[in-house]
This record gives sequence, structure tokens and C-alpha cells, in this order.
Amino acid sequence: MKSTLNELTLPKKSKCNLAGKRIKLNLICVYLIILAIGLSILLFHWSLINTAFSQLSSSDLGSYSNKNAVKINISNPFQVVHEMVGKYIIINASLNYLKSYKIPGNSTIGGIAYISIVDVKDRVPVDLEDWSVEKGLYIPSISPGQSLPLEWNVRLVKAGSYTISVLFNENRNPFTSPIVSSRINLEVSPKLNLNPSNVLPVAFGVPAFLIGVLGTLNYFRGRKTGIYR
Amino acid sequence: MIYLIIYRLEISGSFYSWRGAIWIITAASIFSLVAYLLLTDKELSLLDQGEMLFTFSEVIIVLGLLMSGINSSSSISTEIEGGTFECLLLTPIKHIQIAIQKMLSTVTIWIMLYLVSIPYLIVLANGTNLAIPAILYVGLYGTVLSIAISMISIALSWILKNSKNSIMVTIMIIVLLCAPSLFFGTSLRRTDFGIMLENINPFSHAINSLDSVLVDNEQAFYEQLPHVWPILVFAIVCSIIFVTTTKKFEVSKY
Repeated sequence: MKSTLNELTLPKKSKCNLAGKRIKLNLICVYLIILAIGLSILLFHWSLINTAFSQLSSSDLGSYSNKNAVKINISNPFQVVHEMVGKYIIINASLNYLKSYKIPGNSTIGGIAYISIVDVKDRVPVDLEDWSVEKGLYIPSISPGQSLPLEWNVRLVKAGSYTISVLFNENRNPFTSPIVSSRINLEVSPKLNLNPSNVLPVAFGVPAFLIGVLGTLNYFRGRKTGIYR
Repeated sequence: MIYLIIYRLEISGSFYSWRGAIWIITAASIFSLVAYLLLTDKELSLLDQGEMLFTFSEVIIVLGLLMSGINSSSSISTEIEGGTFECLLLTPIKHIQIAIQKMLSTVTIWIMLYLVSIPYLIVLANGTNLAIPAILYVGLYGTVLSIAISMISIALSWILKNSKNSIMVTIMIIVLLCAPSLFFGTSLRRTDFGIMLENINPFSHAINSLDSVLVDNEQAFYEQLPHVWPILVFAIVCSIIFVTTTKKFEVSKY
């Protein structure tokens, strides 16, 4: 009987062992998964930090400092300019290379300053073809502490709401982002002029005058020849 | 005054009746429309005054050339087709004088058209110093080109002896002359072919000169001499063809 009991109990023990082993294996698997997730999160963060560091250590770090080194001050940035279609306005700005941000080596910088007009209502940038003869100004060099006045004559072509800003693209580093001034808000009101340059008297007057003269000539000729009595 | 009898007859036909003079009212209406559009149209009014004047000057000269060409290209051939040319030849006037009087009547039409256009030029040049240069240069180029086109059209009218054909050929010549300046794009005009065409084309010289005077403000006459002499050469060539062709009208030829 003992032997049979043993025989009977043995399989029970082995079953318990097997269940325990399975639980342990499952726990190990869970731990491994948690570890893998943790490692992947750690690696992901590490890669982000690396990228950030690499970006900071690359040339863009210079651009960041340059961005602060050069500033564009625009006249009346917080004022809304109200004008009529067809008028000219002057956009005054100054490009300042701050002395405190002097870059070692070749300290002068050059680039192109240009204006950007955005139609606020239509939400589109404006094609400057008709608005301004000079879209951009080339600045060969500007030294630290120097300030350059910039000026654009802008013709107000179409009624609407616009914002105007001045941008500067530095030549030395092609990957730098442009430096942007504050915006000028512009409200252009429509102009309704049916008689510009007094054209209406001439446009109607000349044909009317000719009709009168030719009619008179025709009448006198008719009188002479007996057509009109 | 017998020498100007053909001229007077031609002019009376062009001015003394409603049917004859409707062209001048139509031309004035075209000028009115173009001037008003240039000053009020949303897109066109953005042009500078110099460019407006230049565009208007182009319209005046092209219209003048078309009228001169069409009027003179039918001057001899209609007489032949109407059977009145023989009577004309019987008048005690030299043959070339008949042709010259026909040509003068055409030039008078151009002068009338030019006089009508002057108030529009003054209005378009309002506030600038461009009114007098525009009037003078349009007058100069328009008159010389009108004389040249009239002479060659009269010669064609005699050679072809058919109004329809001579008018068609004259219009083609005028369109050919105007094509480089009016129909060619800027890029095509800057190619070697375009530059060559512009250099030999008197109409292009007139247009380029007006551009230089009205848009670039180069108003001195000596600055325009490179454009003036090719137009004069063209007029001289046309006058040689005119004199050679119209020296002797022979009735037996038709």
C-alpha cells in the first residue's frame, strides 16, 4: 500500500513542482519584458539627449548665438497703420549687430535683408512684384556694434489687412534660420476714384467734340447742297 | 490749285460726311477706352505713368499705321476697279503727283488721328514732365512711319491692282513690323534672333525709343539717334520704291 501511496503521492509532488516552475518562468518573462521596456525607454531618452547635444554642439549653436547677436528693429511695430490703396508707405528698420555677441575670428557678417508681407484675411503671403521695387537689400558686411538703416518703399496695391516684417538671412552659415523683426500691422482701405487725373472730361469730351464738329460740317455742307433747308 | 485737287477730293471724302468721318469718332472712342482703363483698371492703374504713356503711344502708332496702310493700299486699286483711273490720268498732273497727293491725304488722316490723341497724352502725363516728349516723339515716329507705310502701300496698290489683295498684303506687312515688339515675349526678344529682328525693324526702333524716352526718361534727341536713323532709312527705302513704281502709270498694263 505504501508503495502505492508513494506511487500516488509522487505524481502529486511532481505536478506541484511543475506548476511552481511555470509560475517562476512566467515571472521571469514578466521581469524580462519590464526590463526590456525600461531599457528601451532609457535608450530612447539617451538618443534624444544625444541628438540634442549633437545639435547644440553643431554649427546651429552658432546660429543660435548669431540670432541673438543680430537684431532687426522696425519702426512702429505695435501700431496699426491705416492707409488707402495706391498710396506709398515707407518701412524703416535698422539692422543691429550687438557688440556683446562678438563672434571670434572674422567678426563681420553679411547677408540679405528682405521684407515679407502676409495677407491676414486671405492667409497667404503676398507676391511683392507690384508692391515693392526692391524686395531685398544685400548687406556685404556689418561689424559688431554697427547699425544699418534699412528702408523700403511699399505701394499698397490691394485693400485688406496685412502684416509686414523684415527678415535677415546671414551669408556665412547656410543652415541658420533667418532673423525676423517684429511685425507692422497694416490696414489698407479701398479707394474708389472714377475720375483719376481728370480723365473723364477728356474721355467723353473728345468724342463728343468730334461728333459736334463733324455734325456741324455735315449740316453746313447739306445746307449748301440743298439737303437741309 | 489744280495740283491739289486729288488731295482735296480724298480729304473731303474722309471728313465731310458721316460715313467718311466715322473712323475719327471710332478712333477717339478707342483712345477714351484705353486711357480710362489705364487709369482706373485695378491691374493697369498700377503701372507707372511713364509705362501708361508708353502703352498709349503704342496704341496711337499701331492704329495710325493700320489706318494709313489700309487707306493708301486701296487708293489706286479702287480707282482701277471703279474704272476712274483713266480719267485721273487725263488730268494735267504728273503721275507721281497723283500718287503723292494720295499719300498726302493718308498722312493727313494720320495727323488728324495724332491731333485727337494729344489731349489723352496730356491727361496720362498729368503731374510729370513727360507730356511734351510724348507728344513730340509720337508725332515724329508716327509721321515718318505713316509716310513710309503709305508710300509702300500705294506702290503695292499699283502693282497688285486689286484692293482686296493690296489691303491684305499691307496688313501682313504691318503685322510683321509690329510682331517683334507686340507679340514676342521678353525672353524671345532677348535671343540673338529677337535682337537681330529688332535691329532691322523700324517699328521696333520706334517702340524702343518711346520706351527709352517715356519709361527710362532719356529725352534728349541725341540719345534717340540710334533709333531715329533706322526709321529714316526705312522711309528712304520706301520712298525709292514709291518713286520707282509710281513714276509712270501705264493704262495698258491693266
